[in-house]
Amino acid sequence: MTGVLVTTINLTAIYALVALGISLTWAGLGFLNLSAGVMYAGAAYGAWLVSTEITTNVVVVLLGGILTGVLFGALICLTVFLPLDSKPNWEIRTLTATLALSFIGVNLYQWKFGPQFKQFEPLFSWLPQFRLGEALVKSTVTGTVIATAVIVTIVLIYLGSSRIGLGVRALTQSVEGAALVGINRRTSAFAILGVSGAFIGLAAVLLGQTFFVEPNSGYVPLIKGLIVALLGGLGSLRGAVIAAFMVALCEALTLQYFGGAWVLVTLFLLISIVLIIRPRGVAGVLETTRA
Amino acid sequence: MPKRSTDLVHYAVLAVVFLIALVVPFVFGTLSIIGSMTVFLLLLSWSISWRQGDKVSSDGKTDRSSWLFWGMAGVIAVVIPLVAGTPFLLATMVAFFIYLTWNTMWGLVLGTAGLQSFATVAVAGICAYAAAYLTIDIASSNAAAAGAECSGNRLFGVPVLEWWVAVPVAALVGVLVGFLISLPAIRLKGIYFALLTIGLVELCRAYAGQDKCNLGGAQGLYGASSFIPSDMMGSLDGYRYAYAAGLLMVAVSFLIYWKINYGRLGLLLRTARESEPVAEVLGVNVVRARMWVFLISSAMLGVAGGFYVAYYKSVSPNFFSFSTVLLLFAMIMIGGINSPRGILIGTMLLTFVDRRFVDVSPPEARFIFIGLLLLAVTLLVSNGLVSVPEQLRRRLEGRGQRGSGPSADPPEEQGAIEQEAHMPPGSRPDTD
Repeated sequence: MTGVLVTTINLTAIYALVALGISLTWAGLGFLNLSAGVMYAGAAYGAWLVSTEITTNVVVVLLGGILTGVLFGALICLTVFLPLDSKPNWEIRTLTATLALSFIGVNLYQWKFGPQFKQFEPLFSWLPQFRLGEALVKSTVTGTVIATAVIVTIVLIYLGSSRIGLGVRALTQSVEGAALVGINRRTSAFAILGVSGAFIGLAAVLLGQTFFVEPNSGYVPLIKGLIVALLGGLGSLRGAVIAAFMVALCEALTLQYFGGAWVLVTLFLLISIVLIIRPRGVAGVLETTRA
Repeated sequence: MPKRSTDLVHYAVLAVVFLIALVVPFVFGTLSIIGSMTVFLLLLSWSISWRQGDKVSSDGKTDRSSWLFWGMAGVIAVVIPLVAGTPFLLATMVAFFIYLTWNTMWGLVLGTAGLQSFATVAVAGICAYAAAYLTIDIASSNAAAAGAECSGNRLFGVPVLEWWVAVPVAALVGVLVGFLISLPAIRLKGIYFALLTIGLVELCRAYAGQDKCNLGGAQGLYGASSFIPSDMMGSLDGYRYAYAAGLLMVAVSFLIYWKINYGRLGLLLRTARESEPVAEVLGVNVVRARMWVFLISSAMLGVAGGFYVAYYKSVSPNFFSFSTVLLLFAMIMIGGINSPRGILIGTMLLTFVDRRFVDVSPPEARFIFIGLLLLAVTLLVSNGLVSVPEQLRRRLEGRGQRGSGPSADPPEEQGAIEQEAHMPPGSRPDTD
C-alpha cells in the first residue's frame, strides 16, 4: 500500500506541474495550450542536450530544461497569442494553432533527433534511498518532490511579490478589470506563457528520469495534464493540485491491481464521472467568466 | 453594365484555369490532377463569393445559390477517372471520398452545431471495427488470436456475414455510439467536451490494441468481405467500381449535410451555437437538436466506417491514432469549417499533399508542411481558405471607411459590415 502512496506522490508532483502550466495559460490568456506536449518534449530534448554536451550537474540540467520550456512559452506567445489576440473565432483558432504547432514540433523532433529513445543520466543518484514501510523510496522520487516543491515555491513567491506577478494574478481574475487598471495583457502574456513553460520544462526533466525521451513523448503528459487541468477546473491552481492527486492515485491503483494497459481506461472513467457530476471540475472557479 | 463584363472576365479566367488544370496531369503525373482541380475549385469558390459579395456569409443560406460550384465539382468527379484513370489515382480518390464523408459529418457537429467534438474518428473507428468483426472469422484468419488463450467463440454466436449486412449494422452501431456521445454533450461545454472526446479516441486506440481475442490486438482485423467482386479485385475495373461506390457515399453525405445545414435543424443548431440562452428563450429544444445531429452524423460515419472495412478489408488500432485526428482536423480547418465548399476544398488539398508527396524524404517534411499550412491559414484567415474574399472585402471596406476612399455608401459600424453593407456587387473599381 505504501508503494502505491510513493508512486502517487511522485506522479502528483509531475502531473500538477504540467496541469499548472496548462491551467495558468487558460486562466490568464483564455486559451487551451495543446502544444504543451511539444513544449514538454522540447524541454526534455533541451535538458538532454545540456546533460550530454555540457554537464550533468543537476542544477544546470534542471535549468536547461526550464529555460527551454520558457523559450517555448515565448515562442507560443509570439506565434499564437499575439497574432490571434482579439480576433474573431478566437477559441477554435487558438485550439487549431496550438494543434498545428504540436504537429510541426513532433515532426521536427522526429527529423532532427530521430525516433530513437534518449535516456538521461540519473540526476538524483547522490540523494539517499530510504524505506517507507515496505516500499523503497528511490532517490529519483525524493529528488522529484524536492525539485517540484522548490521551483513551485519560487514561482509562487515571484507571482505573489513582483509587479508582473500582480498583473498575471489580476488577469486570471478578470480580463476587463485588469485592462481597466492599466495592465498590459500582451506583456503579461509573455510572463504567463514563460511561467507555464517553466513548469512544463521542469516536469519534462523530472519525468525524463523515469521515461525515455522520444519525439512523441509529450503526448501522454499533454493528455494527462489536460485531464488534470480540466478535472481540477481550468484556472484553479488549488483544483489542479487536488486533481493531480486524484489522477495519480487512480493511476497508481490501476497499475498495482490491473496493469499498465488499463491506466487510460480507468482515468477516462474517472474523468467522465467527475465531469458529469461537476461539469467545471473539482474547483471550477471560472464558471461564469470563461468557456 | 459593369456587372456583366466583370462576370465575363471571371468566367474566361476560370475556363482557362480549368483547361490548364486538365492538362496538368499529363505533365506532372496523374495524381497532380487532384491538386490542379483543388486550385481550380478554390478559385471558383473565391470568384463566386467575391461576386456575391456581402450577401454571402460562409454558412448562410445564400451558399445554396452556388450551383456553378457544385456543378463543376460533379463534372470534375466524372472527369478525373476519364482523364487520368490509373489504379493509383482511383485508390487515392477512394481514400479521399472516405475522408470527405467523415469531414462533412464532422463539419456538421463542429461547424453547424459548434460542438467541439473530436469523436469523429472514434465513432467511425468503432463502426469500422464492428463491421470488420461481423465479416471476419478472427479465429481462422488471425494467428495471434487463434492461440491457446482465446476460445474463438464469437460474441452472441454471430455468424460471419457479408459486407452488405455489415455496413447497415455499422450505421446502427454509429447511431448507438452517437447517442452515447451526445449524452455528456448535454452537460459539458466547449473545451471540456473536446477533451472528453479526444480521450475517447485515445481510449479506443488503447482498447483495440489490447483486445487480442476479439479485435486482433495491435495487428487489428483483416480479411473482411469486400464489396468489390472478387474477379475485379486489384484490376482497373475494381478500382472504378470502388470509385463509383465512394462517389455515391459522398453524394449521400453531402445530401445529409445540405438537409441539416440549410434546413430547420441547422437553423436551430446555429441559433444554439451563437447563444444558448437566446435559443432557449425562443423555444428551441437545444438538447434534442444536438442529439439529432449526433445521431444522424454518426449513422453516416458508421456507413463510412463500414465502407472503409469493405474497401480496405482490414482495420487496425492505427485508425485511432492522434495523427489521423490531426490530419482530418487540418483538412476541415484549412478549407473552412462552416462551409461545405471549404470542407471539400480542404479535404481535397490535404489528400493531395499527403499522397502526392508520400515519398519525399525526409517523410517528416510533408507533415511539417501541412502543419505550417494549417498554422498560416489559422493565423491569417478567420474561417478557412474559402472565407478569404469575405475577409478581404471587409478589410478593404474598413480601409475605405477610414480614408473616405472609393466606397460611396460607407456603413456606420465596422462590426455591422458583415451583415449590412449594401454595396451592389461589382460596382467597386477594385473588384478584380
